[in-house]
Amino acid sequence: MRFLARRVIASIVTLLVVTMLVFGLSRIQGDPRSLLISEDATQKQWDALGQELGLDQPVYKQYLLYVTNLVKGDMGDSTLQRKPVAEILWSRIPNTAMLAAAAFAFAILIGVPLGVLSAVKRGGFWDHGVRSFAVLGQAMPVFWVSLLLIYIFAVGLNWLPASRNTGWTSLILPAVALGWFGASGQVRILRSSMLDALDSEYVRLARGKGVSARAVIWKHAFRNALLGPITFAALTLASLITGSIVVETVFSWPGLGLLAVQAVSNSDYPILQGVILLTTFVFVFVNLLVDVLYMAIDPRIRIR
Amino acid sequence: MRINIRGRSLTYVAATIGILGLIAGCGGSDDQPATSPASPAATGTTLSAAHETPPAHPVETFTLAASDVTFPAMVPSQLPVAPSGFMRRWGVYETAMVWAVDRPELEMRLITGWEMDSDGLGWTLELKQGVQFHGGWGEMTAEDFVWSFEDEIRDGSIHSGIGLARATGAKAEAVDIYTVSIRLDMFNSFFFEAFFGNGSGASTKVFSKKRIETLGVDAAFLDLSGGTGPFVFEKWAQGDEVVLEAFDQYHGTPSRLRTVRILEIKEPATQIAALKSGQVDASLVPAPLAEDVARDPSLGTLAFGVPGSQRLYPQGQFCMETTLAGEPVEPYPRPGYDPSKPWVGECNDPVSQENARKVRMAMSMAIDRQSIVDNILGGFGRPSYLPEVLPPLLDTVWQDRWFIPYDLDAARKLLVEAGYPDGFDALIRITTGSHPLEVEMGQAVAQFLGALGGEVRTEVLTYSGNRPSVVARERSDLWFRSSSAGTAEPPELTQLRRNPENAFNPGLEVREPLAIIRRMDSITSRDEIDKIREQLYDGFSHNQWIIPVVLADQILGINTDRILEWKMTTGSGYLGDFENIRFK
Repeated sequence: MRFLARRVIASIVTLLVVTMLVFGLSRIQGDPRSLLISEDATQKQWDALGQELGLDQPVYKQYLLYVTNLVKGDMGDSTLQRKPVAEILWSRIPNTAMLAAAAFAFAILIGVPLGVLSAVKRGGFWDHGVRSFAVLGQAMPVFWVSLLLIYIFAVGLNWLPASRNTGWTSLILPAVALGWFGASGQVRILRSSMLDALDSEYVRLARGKGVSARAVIWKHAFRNALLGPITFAALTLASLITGSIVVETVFSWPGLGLLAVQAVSNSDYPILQGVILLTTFVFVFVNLLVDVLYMAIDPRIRIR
Repeated sequence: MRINIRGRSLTYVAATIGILGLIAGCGGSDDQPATSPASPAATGTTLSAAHETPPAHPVETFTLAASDVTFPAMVPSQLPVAPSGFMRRWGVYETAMVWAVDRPELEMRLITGWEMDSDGLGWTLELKQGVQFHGGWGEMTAEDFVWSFEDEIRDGSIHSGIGLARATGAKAEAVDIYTVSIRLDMFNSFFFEAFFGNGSGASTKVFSKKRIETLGVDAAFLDLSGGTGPFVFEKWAQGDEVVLEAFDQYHGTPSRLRTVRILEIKEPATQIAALKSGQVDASLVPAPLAEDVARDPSLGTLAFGVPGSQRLYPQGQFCMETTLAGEPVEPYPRPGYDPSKPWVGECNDPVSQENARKVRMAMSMAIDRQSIVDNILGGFGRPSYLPEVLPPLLDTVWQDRWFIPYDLDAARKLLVEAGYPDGFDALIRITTGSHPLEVEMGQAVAQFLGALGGEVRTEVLTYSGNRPSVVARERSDLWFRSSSAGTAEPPELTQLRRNPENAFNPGLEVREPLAIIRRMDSITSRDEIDKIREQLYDGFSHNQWIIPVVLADQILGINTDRILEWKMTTGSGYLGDFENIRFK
């Protein structure tokens, strides 16, 4: 229980530090007034707008007010749209969730079979092919993969839409671009743990007892090799939700990542803060969940 | 061929201000195109010369890719500067007059005629009857016009015209249901075009008063109805998609289009991919990608709008102890006044001032403008010789007179004469957020200046990060400033805002240009105005108070398989005039 309490407190501290960082960085980025009024605005206009937006207060007061409101569940209003930030975030969450789910499905459905295949066919053609897939997926920058996919499948072949959410077909390219990295990670981790499992005593024993190859791979080796990949999968899911900024921007996918980029362009502090806080919360929560799962799975952690 | 400067100048004089009406002592009417303003900035960008009266909505949908479409804020006083621009061009809200597509003059839009008062201090506008507001808010009346104008200039407004309106004491009054009277306390030659045309950020866009009163300001801010233009906002998904639908009760010529979809696509490469794959019909094209687009047989490129001006401010020229009105400048000297800077000099020492002028001229001559156009802008632009003063579209026409050669030897000679044989060190602040290639252009300028000797460093920061020190008159270094698009606003108006009373000043408080511009207010002859303008341009050219660099085109990529013609006025830097698109 003390372990859990420590993790919860650490999570809260993390969130608090993130609010400070986000608040500070967003102030450095620029003053939203320069986007709202003409550069030739009078000082009076400039000051009046600052007062209206709360920018006339000392920065620490702005921060305290921000945190106080957060605790009350009020993330403020968008500077440009004058709508509650929460409402704007909610409107974007389904798109990000959909993209993350599709990318996760791609990562698992491609990564797991390929990881197993690579381990079982160690040193052969398939192993080399799969490892190349994994190295490429982890080495190529995601923005470049995204543009490559667009130019091949949308511009060249004209099979799929180049951008935006226009239906299920428009989900394919961004999901592949976003999920390839996760699939590659799955391949490498699963291959490694499968190789360990396939070399283990109990697998050799099973083979010696005449158990079929399929049963050895899927029932004995695969199940015992899953612990690492499951943890990786959980963190992959969190990073897909939180880390889709580049993919959403390149594909103009109207999710949280694109919203964050647009908020930066528009110096819309409240939205930017809301997006970062939400994604941080997701990441911290998933990490906490993984810790709890570890605790449930491994009694040694409970004892410590 | 040599251009007749005087002839062009006269055209421009007639164009940029409403003075013609003052001189002629008459207003406009439906039969005769309204006055003045034969602005060069109104020269249209036309894909094809063909023209015919369009049938109503034969084409269903036109799709445009755009980035950073800012929420419109549907209340005059709360309209931010960017949407104020595209609202004028998308045909949702309208102004009293608009620049004609195919000739350099303002056309009636929401009015049927106007007359200037005999003392030159006011106008009477006759509103068009039967103009319906979107969303069923009824017919436009003089009360709507007056309310829109007053809301723009009320306390707390962020509207761009508030400064000019306050300075001239402008007031609006509804004389009867279709007649509006505007009166000023003092004559101002820029007021008419700025408020009643559609080329300026100050233009009065008429909103329904009843709508605001019924909904309240907060709800009206978000509500998308209430304009009068050929298109109605059907949908606004911020950061994703805007849909405009043709307004069936529109009072003018109906649009050829039923629907306009504006898709927000942030990444330029994806915009081009959307254009190439047929997902959109048109898209802005960054200069480095223009050649790629032009190579595609089904696509074409065209420059549109007023090119953006890229210029270098030699800051620190704070030489006005009193304002033009004679009031003491506070504080004086300005914190940024540093006579040790080679481009500033001692304000009260004519020799020092002449040396500073030579330094600025040397800097200007050291910049290879054509190289920047060719190598950074991919040919989509042209050298600039009179930034912020001469309307960008005339810069080309008149460049013979104010041409500044790229001549490093001559520049070095000037520096020797000015007492800087080994050059000088300098810092160039490059501000971002206005043009995608501003950093590259600023760094190129730094390299060119570095060739004069001395170390030229650059510092990149956001526009808003730089602004406070500009307002505080603290800077005495060089500022490379970019714009993605210019405006059709009279350039003298921009310069007038550089007077010491105003908040913003890019390091130039020099009496001479302001005094020259002010003289325009007290004369009634076009020839005299013409002469004054030439003096102003000569002054800027000779003194290089601001160092011009290049004018960068805005480039539009279009699907030529589908679009036959797109007549676009160049009244501002924003895409629009969708009702003028003709399809194959």
